[in-house]
Amino acid sequence: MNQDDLEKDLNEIIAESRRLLGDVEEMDKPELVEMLNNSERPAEAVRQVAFSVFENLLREYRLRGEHPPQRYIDLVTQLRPAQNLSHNQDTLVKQAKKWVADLLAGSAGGTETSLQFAFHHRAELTDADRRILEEAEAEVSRKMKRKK
Amino acid sequence: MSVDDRFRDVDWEVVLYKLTVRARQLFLTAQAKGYRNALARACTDPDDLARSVIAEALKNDRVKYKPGKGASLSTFLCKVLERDFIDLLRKGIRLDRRLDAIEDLKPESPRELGVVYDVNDGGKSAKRLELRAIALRAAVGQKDLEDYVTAAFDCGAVTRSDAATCLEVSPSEVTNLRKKLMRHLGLTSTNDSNETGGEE
Repeated sequence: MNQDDLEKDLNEIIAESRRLLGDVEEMDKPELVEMLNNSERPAEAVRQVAFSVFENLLREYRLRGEHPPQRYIDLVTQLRPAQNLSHNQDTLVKQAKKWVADLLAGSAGGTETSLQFAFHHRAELTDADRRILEEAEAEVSRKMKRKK
Repeated sequence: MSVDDRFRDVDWEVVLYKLTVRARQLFLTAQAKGYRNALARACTDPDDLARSVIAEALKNDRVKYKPGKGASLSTFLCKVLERDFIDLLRKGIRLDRRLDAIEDLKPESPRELGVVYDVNDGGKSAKRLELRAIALRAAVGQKDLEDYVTAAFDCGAVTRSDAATCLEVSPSEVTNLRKKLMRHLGLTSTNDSNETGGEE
C-alpha cells in the first residue's frame, strides 16, 4: 500500500465507521447509554473513571493553591456519582437540580429495570421499610413496562 | 467571552458519552480493517482518547472551542477526536515499522505473543480491506445484520431513521442491530488477528 492509499484508507475509517455504526450526533442520551452498556465498560463505569480523572485535576489545582476554573468544577459536578456526594452546598444544589431535570426529561440513566439502593445501614431496614421499597420497585417496573 | 463562558450550560455527561462511543467506533473499525497492531503500539484505548479530547478542550490551549461558530461543542470535539485518532494511528504505524526493524537486527529474539508481524517489504504487499466486505463477513448467516449492512452501504441509509425506513423496522431496532454488529465486528477482528490485514 503506498502513502496515498494509506491516507485514503485512514480517511475511509472515519467516514465508513459513521456510515456503518451510526452518527453519534443523532443519538440521544438513552441510546448512547445503551451503546456503552453493550460493552465491557458500561456508561456508569465510563462516567466514574472520567469523574476520578477530572477530580484529580481539581485536586492538583487546589494543591498548587489555585482556584480551579469554573468549567472544571461544572464538569466534575455533573459527572459526580450519586454515591460520592460533595460536601459543598452549592455543588449539592446543582447536582440535585440536574437529577430533577433528568428525571423530568424522562431520560433513563441505564437499562436496569430494578431499583438499586445505596443505603449505608442496610441491616437497619425494618420489615416495613423493605415492604415500601419492594412496592416502589414493583411500581417503577410496571411503569417502565407500560412505557415500552 | 471568557473561556468559562464558552463552556457554560454544557451537558458534559452527554459530551463524554458521545466522544466515547465515537472513539470506540473508530477503534473497532480500524481493528477490523487490519490496524490492530498499529493501535496496540499507540498504547491508547478509546475511552482514554475521548477523555484526552475533553481535557484538551478544557485547557483551551491546543483545542479552542468558540460557540456561535456553527458547530455544537460535541460536533466540534468529535472532529477533534477523529483528527487525533488518525494522528494516533499514523504514530502506531510508524512505531510498528520501527519495531520490525529492531526485530531484523535480532532475529533470534522471541516474538511477542498475540502480535501479528507484517512482511517487511515497506508495506507493498499489504492490501486495503473494505469495511463493507468485513461487515458482511461478520454478519454472515444473520439475515437482519446482512440487510442492515446492505442498507447502510448500498442504499445510502446513513441515519437511524433512514435505516429504519429502509429495513421497515423501528428506530430502536436499528440501535439493536448496530450494537449486535459492533459485537460481531469485535469478534471478527479478534479472530482475524493471525491474517494479513491492511497494515502498512
